[in-house]
Amino acid sequence: MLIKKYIPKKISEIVGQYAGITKLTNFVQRKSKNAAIIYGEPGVGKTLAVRVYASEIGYELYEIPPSSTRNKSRIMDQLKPATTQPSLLGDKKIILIDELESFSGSSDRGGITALIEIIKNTRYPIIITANDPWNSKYKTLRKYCELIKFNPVEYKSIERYLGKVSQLEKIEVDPIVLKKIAARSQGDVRSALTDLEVLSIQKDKIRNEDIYDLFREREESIFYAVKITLKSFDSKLALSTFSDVKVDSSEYTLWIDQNMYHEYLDPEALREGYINISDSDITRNRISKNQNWSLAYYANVSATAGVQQSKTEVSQTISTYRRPELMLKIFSLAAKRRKAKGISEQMSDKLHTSARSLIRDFYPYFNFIKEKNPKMGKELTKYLES
Amino acid sequence: MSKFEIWTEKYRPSKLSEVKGQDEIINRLSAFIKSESMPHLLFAGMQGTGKTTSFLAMAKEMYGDNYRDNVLELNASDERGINIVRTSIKDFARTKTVTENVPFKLIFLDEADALTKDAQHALRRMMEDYTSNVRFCLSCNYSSRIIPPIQSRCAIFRFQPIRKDVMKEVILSIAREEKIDLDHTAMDYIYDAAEGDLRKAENIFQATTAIADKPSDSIPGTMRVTINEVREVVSFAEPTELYEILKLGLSGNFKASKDKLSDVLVKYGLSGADAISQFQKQIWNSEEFEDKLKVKLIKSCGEYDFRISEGSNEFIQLNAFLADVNLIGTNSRFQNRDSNI
Repeated sequence: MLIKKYIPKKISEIVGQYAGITKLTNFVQRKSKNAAIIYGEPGVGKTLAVRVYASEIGYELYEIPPSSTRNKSRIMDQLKPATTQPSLLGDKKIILIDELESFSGSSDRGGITALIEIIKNTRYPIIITANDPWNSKYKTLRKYCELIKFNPVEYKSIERYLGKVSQLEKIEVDPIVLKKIAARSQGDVRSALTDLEVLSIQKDKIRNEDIYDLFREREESIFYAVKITLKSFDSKLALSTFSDVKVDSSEYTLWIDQNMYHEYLDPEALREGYINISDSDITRNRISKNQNWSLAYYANVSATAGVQQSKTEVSQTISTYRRPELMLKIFSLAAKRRKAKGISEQMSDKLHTSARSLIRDFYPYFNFIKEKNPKMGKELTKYLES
Repeated sequence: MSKFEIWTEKYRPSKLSEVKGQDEIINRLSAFIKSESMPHLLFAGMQGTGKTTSFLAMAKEMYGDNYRDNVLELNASDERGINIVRTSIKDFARTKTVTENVPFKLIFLDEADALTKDAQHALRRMMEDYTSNVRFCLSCNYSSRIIPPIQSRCAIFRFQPIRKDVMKEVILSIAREEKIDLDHTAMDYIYDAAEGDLRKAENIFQATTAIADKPSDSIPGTMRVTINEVREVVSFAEPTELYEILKLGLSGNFKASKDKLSDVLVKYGLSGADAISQFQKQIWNSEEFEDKLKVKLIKSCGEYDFRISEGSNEFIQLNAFLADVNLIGTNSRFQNRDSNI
């Protein structure tokens, strides 16, 4: 694997994260606070930077990986001695808690409070990595931590880095391909390297048209899985073609939603099919609430075999399947809500009402005034901001 | 023109005696102030019935100018979970009160029914621990969502939806103040749309002033607001498109109904739960649907209301609702045809 093969050994080898790393080294040297949260998108080098830096300056790294037991009391039992007892290397130790999100889970039975206690009493710097530390449940935690942002890596830096790797690997790559992979990665070095690897399998030359394999292959295999779900009756086949595709059930329900009504012309079958993706969605939500991944199987079966068995006959139409249009709508709706939420939070104190009920009870009228009478709308905005 | 203000704040009564429509509750709260002793309180009732207003008025009468130091106002729904109970409340409750004549401070916890069970149990312990210097006033829509041990520690006050005569009195006095000539048909329309929620009535009324541009003939110096302006505000805030979506679904045009629904959701920033509750209202108030059909559709709303709260993708759940509507429509068309034979 290229990611393993080219893992940086020195801080200076980490791509495009100079500012963040400087803050990290300052934090470890100065210890102005007991803990730091490094945050940023996946694949920008958060965990990597901590590991490489610790080994470069000869510190012991005590690491709590996200995949270790999710049982908080056990983690706390481990953390307490680790943060208070001396290291084998004298006082040279860094504690790394990888992925705050998976550590604290969604139900918060005092896990964060306990973590704060650990931070207050630690002898060694604690570094926490997170994708999004701005969640309100981390509000108190943030006070005890220095916040270090790792930006998405510049696309030019990724391009250069991919060029270097392909040279070392002796792969001949059309420069436009490197550009496209870099752009597609959106600052995620890890995924860019994986893409390069996928394209180079059994090839010593990557041409421009090959890049489309990255996009097309995945989509075509999803189309195939959708076809099996909607057109056949073999439930084992439905589940296994779905499993072959790198798609999770919550995305797959969108694909089914997009394409089912062409095929399930019988209203009874259509409703039954929808109940199945509705069930699948509910199961998914339970999984993410409780991190109970053993339920994933049920979500998958509902979305595939469940939908498949909802019909009594196969439609004879030759269908061309389409990409889910809902994805875009979900994004736009979320953006719109964030905006409404921002305004409502501003107003919340002033109007003695929660942001949630303001969105429902006040925001529509606020919009009405803004749209129909811009002058009054401006005064209203001024009033709310004062 | 005077400085712009939101009417719900501008006309929020600051004295208990001025709070309208909840006379019995106000009498009892006033008695607490006089006796300078008070149990924990639980205010239950839908939004816009005066829970927050009564609390704020009571607190101001109790503490006068020191009101801000002695009152903590929290929203359970904004900072859900146990942390809010553990930290904010603890810090506030720990310090001693500063007033001479009132021996306790007040914590107002709005939307307390949004707290998880765990958080409520933690809250219950805190109510015990700090009884010496703190009184809690919890506000919720449904007292049944508050755990029994808390209910038993509180005096429960049930706020009724605002009656028509009361709402009329309040709205008309605002109209006088704001120099608006409000038609009585317009007043009736506001009352119907507000459904006993005074805050909503005031918001609707204030929004009409954005489009009121005709001076009144009968009362000089005032602007006229008729049923037309009110209707425009209400249909903007409560999209009638949803009714058309229902009809599309019932007529067997599943794809059209589904496409239109996702557009409407994005356009208005509606949540799945909002959409279902709008659907339910429009079904109930429809003058064309037969009663049998209404009941079937409402039942389906109930099912998907629940599924939306349990699921994660509201689009998927709402489309599933439309698939159900599609089937209900088909079945009722067949039944009608059979019964005609």
